[in-house]
Amino acid sequence: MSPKTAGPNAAAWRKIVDRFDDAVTPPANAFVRTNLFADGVAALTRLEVQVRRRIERQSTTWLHLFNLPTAGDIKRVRGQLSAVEARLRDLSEQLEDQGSVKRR
Amino acid sequence: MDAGSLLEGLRRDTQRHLYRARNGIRYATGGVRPESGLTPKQVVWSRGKAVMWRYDSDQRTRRTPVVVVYSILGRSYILDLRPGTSFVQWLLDAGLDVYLVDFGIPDHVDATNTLETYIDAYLPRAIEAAMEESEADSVDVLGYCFGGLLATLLVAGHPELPVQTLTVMATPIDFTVTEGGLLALKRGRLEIDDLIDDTGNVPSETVHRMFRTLKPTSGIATYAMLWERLWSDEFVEGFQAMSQWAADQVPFPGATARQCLDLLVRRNLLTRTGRLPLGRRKVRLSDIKHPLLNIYAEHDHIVSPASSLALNRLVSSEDITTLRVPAGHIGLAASRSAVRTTIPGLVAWLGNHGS
Repeated sequence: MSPKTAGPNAAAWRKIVDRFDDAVTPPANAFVRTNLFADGVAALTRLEVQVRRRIERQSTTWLHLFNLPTAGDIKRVRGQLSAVEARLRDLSEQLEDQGSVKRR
Repeated sequence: MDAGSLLEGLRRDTQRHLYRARNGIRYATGGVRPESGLTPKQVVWSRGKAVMWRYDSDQRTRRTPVVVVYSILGRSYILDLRPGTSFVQWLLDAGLDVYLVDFGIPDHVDATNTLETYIDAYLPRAIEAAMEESEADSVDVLGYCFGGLLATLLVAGHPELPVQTLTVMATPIDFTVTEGGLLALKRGRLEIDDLIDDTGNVPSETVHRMFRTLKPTSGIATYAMLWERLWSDEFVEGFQAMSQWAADQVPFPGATARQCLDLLVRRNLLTRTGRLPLGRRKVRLSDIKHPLLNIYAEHDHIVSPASSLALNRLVSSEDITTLRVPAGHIGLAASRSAVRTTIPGLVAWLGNHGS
């Protein structure tokens, strides 16, 4: 029985919902612990990634034809920018630490 | 039943129906958006996106400050959800000097953050800042959920820090049993790189979905309860605040995700060996000799009691207290059970361990 189950004086509709919940929840909770569920999640995720990549590949040819950047191009530039920003952040923190040590 | 009681019952039922209709429309149209994190506080330390707040109080009676380490997953305002349901306020009311470390919302710059970033770069500095701010010689450290894991590794990996006590709440240590979407990762059906987006992080929507898979039918009882209590303004506000928080996930830094999947979920190193490679050394849980309070939630569907309790046999502390709270993962800190059990147990324990 779920912790949020209504008491004995609950309305009839609530008792029906709770009975449904009690019937459905244990097998659902058991199912998410199975290999079948794990395989299902993995398959759906990979499908999503494949569809996205296919769309990106097919749009790349056309966009480059008109000298326009693709999602992949933007992703690469963004990755380079992120690396630079992260390095800048690390250097700032190192300088800050050195400043703290000198002040002591 | 006399006429008076009958009329009173009719009046009450009619009123409730009206309130139910009004609140239902407000809820459906997003008109109820309660604010969270309202307890007054000041930023006393920051680094990158991480900040540490010190909560205002004129009734501090305990000298040693408590530094609360929140998780990298989820928003920390669950600990200060709304007036009347605020873990932080309850600690302040008990006379504690409360700090909270919040790691912010990761973006592309944080994608390369690792466990070392939080445990070696951020938290030791936050601890020092808290001691300086409070003019204290030591701190009590309290970690919630993944924050508890960070707090544990901090205390184990930094014996030079003057930590007086360690408290962990619903902290995952043993990953022998994993469920939901995490199972696909553990069994190698999925890799972290399948989940990471253009920012280099696991997107917040994916994190939210992972949590939802742990209890796929939770909506049934939850919405039944909402419909039943829709007439109550207070209930609806509380429900809305909690729902907002549950949906308000943050991205998970990609490098940290890879590290956690390998070291914690798949190899389960903490449970199997009691050690974790961090930086250039291996952090040993057996180096923790501090008094330990291990708080777990009896009905926790996110971090099982067994996963939390595993810590007790891995540390070398002689003084270990376990506190069982009849609540779920969130209820441990934001429910009536928190008021009745968590807070009194925590405050009493801290009172028995130090100044």
